[in-house]
Amino acid sequence: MKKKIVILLGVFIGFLSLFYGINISQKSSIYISGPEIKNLINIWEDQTGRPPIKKEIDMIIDNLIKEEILYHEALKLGLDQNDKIIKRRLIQKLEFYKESENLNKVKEENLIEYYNENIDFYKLNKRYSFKHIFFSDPKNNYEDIKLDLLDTENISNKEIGEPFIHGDSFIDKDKTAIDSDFGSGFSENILNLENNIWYGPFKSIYGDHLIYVFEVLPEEIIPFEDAKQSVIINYSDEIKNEVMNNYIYSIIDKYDVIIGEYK
Amino acid sequence: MRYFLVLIAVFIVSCSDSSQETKDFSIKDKKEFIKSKDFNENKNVYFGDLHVHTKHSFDAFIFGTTNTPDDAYKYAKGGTIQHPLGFDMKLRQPLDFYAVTDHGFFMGMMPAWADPNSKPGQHPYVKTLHNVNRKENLTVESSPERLYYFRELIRSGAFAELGSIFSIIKAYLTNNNSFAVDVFDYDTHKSAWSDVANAAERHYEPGKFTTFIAYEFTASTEGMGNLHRNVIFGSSKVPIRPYTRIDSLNPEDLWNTMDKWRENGIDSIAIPHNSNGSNGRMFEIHKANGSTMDTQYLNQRIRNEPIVEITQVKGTSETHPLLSPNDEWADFEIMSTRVGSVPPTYSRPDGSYVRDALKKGLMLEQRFGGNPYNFGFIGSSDTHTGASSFDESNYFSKVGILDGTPVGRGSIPIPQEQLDFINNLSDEQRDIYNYVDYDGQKYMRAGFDEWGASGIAAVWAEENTREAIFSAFKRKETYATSGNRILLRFFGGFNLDDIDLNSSSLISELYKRSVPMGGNIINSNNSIPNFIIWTKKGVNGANLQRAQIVKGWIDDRSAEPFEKVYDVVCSDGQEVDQVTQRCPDNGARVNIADCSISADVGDEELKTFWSDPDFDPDLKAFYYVRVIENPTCRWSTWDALRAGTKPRNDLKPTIQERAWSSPIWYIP
Repeated sequence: MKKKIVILLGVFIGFLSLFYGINISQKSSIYISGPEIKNLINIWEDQTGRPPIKKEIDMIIDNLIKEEILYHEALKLGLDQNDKIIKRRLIQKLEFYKESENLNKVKEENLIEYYNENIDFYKLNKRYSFKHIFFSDPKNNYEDIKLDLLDTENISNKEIGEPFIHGDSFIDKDKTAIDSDFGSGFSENILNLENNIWYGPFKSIYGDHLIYVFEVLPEEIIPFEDAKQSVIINYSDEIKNEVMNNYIYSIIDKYDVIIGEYK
Repeated sequence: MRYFLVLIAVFIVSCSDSSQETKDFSIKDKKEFIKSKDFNENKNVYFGDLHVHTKHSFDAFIFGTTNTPDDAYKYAKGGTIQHPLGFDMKLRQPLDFYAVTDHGFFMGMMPAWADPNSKPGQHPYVKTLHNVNRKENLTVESSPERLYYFRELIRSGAFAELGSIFSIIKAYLTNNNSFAVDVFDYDTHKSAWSDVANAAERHYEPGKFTTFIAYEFTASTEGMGNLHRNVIFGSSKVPIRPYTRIDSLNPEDLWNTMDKWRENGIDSIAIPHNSNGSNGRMFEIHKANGSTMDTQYLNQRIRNEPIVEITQVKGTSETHPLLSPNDEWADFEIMSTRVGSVPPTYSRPDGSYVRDALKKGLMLEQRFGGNPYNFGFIGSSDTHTGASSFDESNYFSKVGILDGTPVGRGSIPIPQEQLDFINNLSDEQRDIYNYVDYDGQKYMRAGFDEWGASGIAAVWAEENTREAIFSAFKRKETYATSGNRILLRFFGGFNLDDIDLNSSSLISELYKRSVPMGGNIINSNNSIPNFIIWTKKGVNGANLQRAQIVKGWIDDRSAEPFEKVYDVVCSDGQEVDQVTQRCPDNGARVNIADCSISADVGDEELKTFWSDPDFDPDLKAFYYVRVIENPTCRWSTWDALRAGTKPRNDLKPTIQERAWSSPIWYIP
């Protein structure tokens, strides 16, 4: 780093002696964007019901150039300073633009209010903990197997059934998670089983399963503090939409809205 | 003069090496309500995507994407977000982990350039982009204009034009070359990076859903050889800005930077992708600058790049028919061109595919004592809409407005109205947006027809936390799928023939006595290595047709590499032919007229014990598993079916979805 600074200072001193005092004339550039021209052409067409001819397009571009030049000159002369109309317009633009930044500074009470109003988003679904015994080929003695399991409730059931690639025990799985592991709709089999009893067989896309539910956790509301990050995300989404909608509703009366044929 | 020197002094003091400045993005008061209850010492499988672009990527925004990192995570968790063309995108099954990996270079700049009210938007070069993604501009008809402006922006030299002498000096002193580029704005860039990082932190739910702070290092060679990597961080503390192609085009410089981050307590990995489009440059046998490899290079590369992305929307990089002429499944979703080349330019296969790299790795190990290609596999999507597109029957491709319709991606003929539109474009626009004739019909000529609904990253980890999954990446206990959620276990070791495949303690036994995918097995009294392969179809996938072992090895004297594909277990109770090492045809077919598939053919599960029949204890070798599903309709056939048109003759009508395990290496 030090070496870089020494090198640079040397280069600077050299260049300063060369350039100091030289007045480089600068030419401002004006850029007229394609979409802007196209947009004005479309507006012309909407207004008059016909596309502009070459001469008229030239006039549109000419006007844009003049507008840009006058705008730049006005800025150079400082005519934008202390102009109430420009001030108000800029403040309005800034307020609109800053909405997104304000989201980072949302107040806790807004979040709590949003959380309470949308409490359904912050619920944990009913969750099931269960074990299962898997048979890739259907058996015809499931009732006997279940009786055996009853007799040997406290001993391991390791010798019955086949290993399942997802494992034998599933903890705190909701409906979607169960369907993810066993296939769509499989969870329906489990939803209303009594605890600590072997049920089945139930068919999954892989084969037959005997199921033993040992814990069911009810639907639960996540406390605000724990859900806060999700609340911030959802609240921010809503505010963004609200800001846009409010803005649109505030100006929509100025337009006649015409929707084209689409059927 | 005195004032000027004081100014310089203040300026210099304010400079420091920005590539090594760090920031901790963790959310201090974040509560972890979902405690990790699925801890499993025998490991659970988790599915995810480590390659996702949002509006902060220049080539996502320009093609209509306004979805944010927050939107991307919402989608991964099962939510609905919108495609740039207005339709809803939703996953059939939520994912377990996700990483937004926007392009590091010019991250966040494109949305700022398009905003006429922003400071960066005032630059003359970018005024054509103003309001490009206003709702009324999000149309298919805007495609040629977008492509044209995009090309002109690159051609204009905007990315290379230097700013003031002060910005050049600042770039030099802070090791941040981006400062020197006139259209660049550091505040905008850092704010986009903060958005990426903060979204990852906000959406991380340990035990339920994992996120990673990440970005893409988008380097390339002269002639558009793709050297892209995704950099994935293992923690909430990360550099204050991404190290990008503006800093260096040489991946070795990225690894040096990653090594320095690691010294400062920030662990990361780089995942190369689209080696298929690298024109042979991703997996070379010498360094990027042409010099001979050395131990430092070999070790540094594998330390920083333990896994590679073997499949994604822009094709699969496992192998190529020219590299593997004896592999009947090698011609799978091949993208033949270099990434981003205009006009599309052929990419040389040698050095572009991972199986070839695994073989080269053995050769390099023989010569230099280290293997830079000792890597595992993942798949990911590389979506540029924030939403991965994995489903052949509901495919929306990658690049927003350009390929969000069947016409745009070339699967159905162009309607007359759109043909007229193209014919009326300027010559310059038709250069980049035009059609070709196939079989008497006109289709878009964009190369999107070689892309596909792939891929997924799968890991075996103890729990769904950032630490556990990142650790799985590093030990390569990962596998890839082409979009379906095939389950795959793979273990290797010696004297495993007494293991009961039907025992419920199978997995714990295997963890005790063998190594999982990604591991090494070392010669044990010249015993023949044994492997256990256990695979199940995904819940929305087709039945499985066969599981294969792909073996690569080298001759110990000539160092010449070889490969062989063995079918090791067949569906429907069929036996592998011991001479051809192939399963008989299981008869699975697809009815192209309605995309229905043969019922009751193929298996839900395949499980087997396998010993290498050609084993030579003196030869270095690797073994990986490839699982093949029964055939199903490819997305292009689904598109044609829905549109009531004939599928294109030159495109494969069906696909055999598959999974690839990370290899296990045998060390003599």
